[in-house]
Amino acid sequence: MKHLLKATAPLLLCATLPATAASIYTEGHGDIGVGLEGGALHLHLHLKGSAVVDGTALGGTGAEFEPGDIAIAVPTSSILSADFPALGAMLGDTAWILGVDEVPGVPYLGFSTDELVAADWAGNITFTLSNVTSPSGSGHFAVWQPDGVGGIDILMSTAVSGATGLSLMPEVHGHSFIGFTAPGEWLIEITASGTHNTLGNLSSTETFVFQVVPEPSAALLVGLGGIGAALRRRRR
Amino acid sequence: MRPLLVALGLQALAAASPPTDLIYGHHEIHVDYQSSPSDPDAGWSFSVSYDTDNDFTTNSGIVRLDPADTVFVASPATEKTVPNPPGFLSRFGPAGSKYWLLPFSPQLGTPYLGVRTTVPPGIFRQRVGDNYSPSPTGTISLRLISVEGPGAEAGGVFAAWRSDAMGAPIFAFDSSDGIGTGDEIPTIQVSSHTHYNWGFNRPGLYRVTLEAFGRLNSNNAFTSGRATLLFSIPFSSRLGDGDQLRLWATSQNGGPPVPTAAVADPQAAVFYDSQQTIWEVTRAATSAAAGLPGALWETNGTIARSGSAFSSGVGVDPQAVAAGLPDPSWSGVTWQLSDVEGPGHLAVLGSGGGLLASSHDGLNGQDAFSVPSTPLDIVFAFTSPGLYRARFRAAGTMNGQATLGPERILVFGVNLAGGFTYSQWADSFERSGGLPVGALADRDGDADRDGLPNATEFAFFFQGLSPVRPDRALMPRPRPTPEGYAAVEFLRDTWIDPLDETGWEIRPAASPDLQVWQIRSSRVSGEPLDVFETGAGPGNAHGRVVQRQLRVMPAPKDRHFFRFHVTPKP
Repeated sequence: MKHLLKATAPLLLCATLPATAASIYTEGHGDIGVGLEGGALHLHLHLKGSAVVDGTALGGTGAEFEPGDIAIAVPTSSILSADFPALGAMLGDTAWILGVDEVPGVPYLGFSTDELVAADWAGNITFTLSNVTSPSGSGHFAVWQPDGVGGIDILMSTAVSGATGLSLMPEVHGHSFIGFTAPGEWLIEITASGTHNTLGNLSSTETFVFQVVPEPSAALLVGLGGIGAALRRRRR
Repeated sequence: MRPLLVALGLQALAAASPPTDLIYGHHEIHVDYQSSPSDPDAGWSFSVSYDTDNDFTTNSGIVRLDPADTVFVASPATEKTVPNPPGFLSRFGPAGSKYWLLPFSPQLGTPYLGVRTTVPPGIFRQRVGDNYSPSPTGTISLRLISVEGPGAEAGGVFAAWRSDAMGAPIFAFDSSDGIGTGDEIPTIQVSSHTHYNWGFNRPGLYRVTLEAFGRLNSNNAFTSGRATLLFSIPFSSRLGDGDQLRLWATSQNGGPPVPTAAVADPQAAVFYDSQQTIWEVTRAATSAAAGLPGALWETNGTIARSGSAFSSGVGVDPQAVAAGLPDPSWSGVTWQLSDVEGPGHLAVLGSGGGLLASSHDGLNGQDAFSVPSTPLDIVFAFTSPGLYRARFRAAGTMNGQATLGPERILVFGVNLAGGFTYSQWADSFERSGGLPVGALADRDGDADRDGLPNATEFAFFFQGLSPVRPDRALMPRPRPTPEGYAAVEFLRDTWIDPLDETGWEIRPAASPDLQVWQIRSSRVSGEPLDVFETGAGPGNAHGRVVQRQLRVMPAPKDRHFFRFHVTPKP
C-alpha cells in the first residue's frame, strides 16, 4: 500500500530532506522488502508501525513506500578502529553505518522476503547491487554481515569485488550492516531476483535513497548540547 | 519422481498440547511482562514463540509454546570445526574440535533463534550501566543463571553472542569461564527482537536457565522471573570398537517386562536404540575372528546386563536402559542371532575365539549364547565389506517367568561409515541379493517389485528397508499421537538429508483429501501448531538418525493421508 505523507512534521534537526524523495524515515523498524504483485516481483520499502516518517510514527501495521518516495536517514557516524576494505576505508576514517541492533533514533533496516510464500519459490531470493550514485562521485557503499565466527561476509560493496549478494529464503527477514563513507544523498540501485515455480525467473530493480547525515559543526554542537553528542559516536 | 503414498485413513481423536522439537525455522525466546502490582514477580512469563504474520513490531500473530516442552535441536548444518587459529572460538576447544553454531542470520536448515520481548511501555525504568531512571518506555535485562543437563555434565560450554560491525563477538552469555554478573544482556528495549549466535561444544541436552529482571517505574522495586530453555546437540550415531550391547527390560503394550538390547557408547556416555546407529567396522580381521571361515573384517565390543549409567538416551529412556537386567531378578539371559542380512556372513565370537553365533552355517537355535551378569567381551566378524543388519532377540527368566524380547536390529557398516552414498548402498545390496553389478543403479527402478523405488529403499534404509526383499510393510505408517493428533512417524537419516538442500531431500506431506497436499521441509517448514515435522519417540537426546513425525494439528481429524517426497541429490 502506498502511503504519501505531507511534510508537516518538524524537520529533523541534523538531516535535511533529500533532493529526490518527499519524505524521510529516521527511526524504527523497516525492511527493503520484496513482494509478488500482479505476477511481478515488487521491490519496495516496507516500514513497520514503529517506523518514524517525517517525525511521526506510522503506527498500526506500518506502510509500504516506493523507494523513490522516501529517503532512509543514516544519522550516526563512527571512527573506524581498523582498516575496513569492504568500504575501502582505513583506520581512523569516518563511516556512517546502520547496524543490526535496534537503537533509538536510528532506522533499524533489514531485508525481507516475508511477503513471499516459500512453497511458491525454487530456492532463495537474491539481492544484489546494480548501481551506486554517491553524493560526491567518490566514497564507498557496502552491505555486510558478521559471519558469527570473527569475520564478515561482504554482500554488496563498491570497494571490493567478489561480493556475494544477499541470499534470503522466502518468508524470512534478516539484518545486515549498511555503510557509507561520505555524507549526503546516496542513490543505491538494488536488484532482487528469484525463480518462481510457475512464473519462472523474476526480478525487480529499484533505487533506494539514503540520506547520510553530515557530522554537525562545532557551533551547532554547542547549540544542541546532548542531542548533538548523541548524533556523533566515537569508537574508543 | 512420483511421491510415494504410504497410508490411508485415520480415525478422529481428541486434541492436546504437544512436545515440540525445533530443528529449523524462525523462533524466539520470548519474554512477556504483564503488570502485577500485588506480586510483581508474577508478571513475568517465558515462552518459545513464532509469529504467524512475520511482523515483529506488533503483538498480533504471536503463538507461544511452553519452553518446558520445546527443544531447540542443532541441525547438521550447525556442526562446525574450531579453526586454526581458534581465536575466540577457543572457548569451545582446540583447533579441529567440534562445536555447534545456531546462527545469527536465517540460514536454510538451521534454527534461527532470537530473543523477543513483549512488555508494555512505562512499566520499567531505563537501565544505563547500573543506573536506573524513570522512563516512558523502559528496558529489561536478561541474565544467565545456570547451564545444566547431560551436555553440560559432559563439559559442554554454552555461549550466546552478537557481533560488531567488524565481526568481533559481543558476548551475552558464556559459561566457559563460569557464570557471573557479566553473563547478561543488560539493556533490552521493551517490545524488541534481536538475534544471536548460540554455541555449544558437546552433544547432549542442555538446560539453560535465564532470568529476566528490571526495576519498576512506580517505586524502583526490583522484580525478576526465570525459565529454563532446552537445547539438544546430537550425538554421532556412529559406533565402533569398544562399544557395547546393553541389555535392559522393556514392556510391550503394558505387559510384563521382557529383555531387549540397546547400544551404548561409553566414551560419549550415551545409550541408543540400535536402529538409530551404524556400527562402523574398519579393522582387518585378526586371529580373534578365525572362528568365522573367510573372515576379513572385525570389530570388538562387549555385551552386558548392567554397567555405567549414562544420562543421555537416543530413542531409549536412559534410566530404563541403565537399570539393565540385574541378578537375582533376571536369570538365564540369552542373546540369539535370528537373521543376518548383508553381502557376506556375520559371526559373534567370544574373547577366546570361540564361535557364539554365526550365519555361515545357517541360523538356528544354536546361534544363541548366555549373557552373564558381568560384561562379556565379544568380537563381530564379517566376510565381506558392505551394510549388514543383524536381527536378534534377548530372552531370560524374570522372577521365575520365562520371557522373550522383541526382535531388534543392529546395523553394521563394514568398511562403510554413516553417510554412505547411494552407490555404496547399491553395491552392498547387489551383492546381498545376488544381483548383477549395476542392477540397482536406476533410482526409479524396483528390483524387488514391492512398489517402492530403489531411491525410497535407500532413503529409508534405517527404517529397515531392503531393495532386494519385498518389504513395503516396513514403510512408516500413520497413527494418532498420544495427544490424539494425526501423525506419521519415521526414522530420518540426516546424513542422507542434512536438511539444507545439499543432499537428498526427504519431505513428508499430509492431506485431508488426497487432493491438496502440504509438503514440509526446511524451506517450507510450516508452523509448530499446524502441519509440522517434529520429534518423536522416547529418549532425551538426538542422533544423526533421528525419530521424527509429521504431525497434523489441530485434532480431531476424521481421516488424514500422508506421503513422502524423495528427491535424490543431483
